Amino acid sequence: VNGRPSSYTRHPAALWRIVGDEVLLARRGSGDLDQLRGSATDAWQLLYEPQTLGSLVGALADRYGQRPDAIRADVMALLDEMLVRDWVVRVDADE
Amino acid sequence: MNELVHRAQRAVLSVGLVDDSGSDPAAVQDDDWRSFITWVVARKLTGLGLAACQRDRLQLTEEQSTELLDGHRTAMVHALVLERLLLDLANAFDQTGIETVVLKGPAFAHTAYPDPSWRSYGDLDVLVATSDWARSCELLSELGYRRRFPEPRPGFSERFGRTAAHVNHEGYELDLHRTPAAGPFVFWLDPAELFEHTSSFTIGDVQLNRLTDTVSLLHACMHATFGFRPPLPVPLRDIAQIATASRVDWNLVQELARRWKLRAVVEYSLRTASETLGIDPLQRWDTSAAERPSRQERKALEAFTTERRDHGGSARAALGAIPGLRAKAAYARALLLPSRDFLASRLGSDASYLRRWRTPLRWLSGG
Repeated sequence: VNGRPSSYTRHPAALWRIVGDEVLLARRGSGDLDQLRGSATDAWQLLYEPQTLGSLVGALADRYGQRPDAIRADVMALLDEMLVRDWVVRVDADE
Repeated sequence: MNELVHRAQRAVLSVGLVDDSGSDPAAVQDDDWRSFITWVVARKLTGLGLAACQRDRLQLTEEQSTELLDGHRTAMVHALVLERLLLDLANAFDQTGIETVVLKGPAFAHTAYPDPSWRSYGDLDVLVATSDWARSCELLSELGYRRRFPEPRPGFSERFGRTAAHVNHEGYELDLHRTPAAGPFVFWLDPAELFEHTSSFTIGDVQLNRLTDTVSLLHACMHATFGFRPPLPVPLRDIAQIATASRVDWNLVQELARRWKLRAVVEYSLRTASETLGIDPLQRWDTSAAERPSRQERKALEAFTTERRDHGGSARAALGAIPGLRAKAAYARALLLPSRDFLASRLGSDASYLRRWRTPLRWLSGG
């Protein structure tokens, strides 16, 4: 995530539903359904609008009563995974 | 049904429509839970049920909540699979140059409800122009869908029919509609006019057509009335949801209802929705004598809302509405002497015209 454009948001093609503390995800042209749980669901809800890594870490740290440094690596890993799976996209600052 | 269950059902059906924040949440006793959750799941109300819990209108035990959540997860997986199919289908129709209008489930879920997870659905409904009907059926066949039942006679669907269910290899169903009307209303509502009352919505990043809020309300009323007797909860909730939360032009509702002879249908379904959901009357139009349904409209409604429905009411009322003797004869002939394929699909291996005629003969003899 380091050195990349600073903001992330949900992929516009993602089809999704929140069920309790889970997010169910699907997309056109793929037979698989994906699932996010727990804090990943909170991240998904925050990503309805573009978030920098810092703002996402800050919001989740507030929600879980953690220090930002303590969760930063986990949030980066989650964003990386969601980028690989095409559930989130990077948004350039001038977009 | 006991009062507690009735209250819990009302809490589910009316969540978000009424401000009952001052009253205690409804609860379901252990003895009633099995029938209650069966009703919620079978009637596709899990999303409304969870919303009622989240808004403290329904208080469930942990075990009950888990079961409701499980039911809702299953419903939402189904909805997502259907949405994915819908986008593939919309793309295929678009590439073939066939205009489609998405009806009911996904269209209502994504436009009328505060959260699409509140509105579950079991299949897809797509409207096409009558002139595109044959091409649409061909396209669906190319895409691996098979028609659930053949038409009674070649050309029947385009001339007299309303919808044809198509199923893909995984069992997912698409109802292809030529019109959302049924029975005599098929001949009173010009489906071409519906394409003048469309708007757009998006699923994912795909833009789709739907009916405007005003015509969606009329369609929800038709669906509630023509679908089942008595009307099912979801169509009634659709009516209330669209009537209260969407941008409905009530003058246009009235004008179209008059022109399409739907005034009795609209009055009946609005009244049934408010009674079933326990909410204030939804009717916001002129109820003066000049705007009351005609006798013909009331009789047509009774073909769906009384015992006549179980005695061929819809088909008989349709026969009366078909313009011209030649067309009436063609309709009656198709239903009385359908193709052998149609007979076999309806009656199985021992299909015969005699078996086919038994039912209408029973109706005529009052049995």
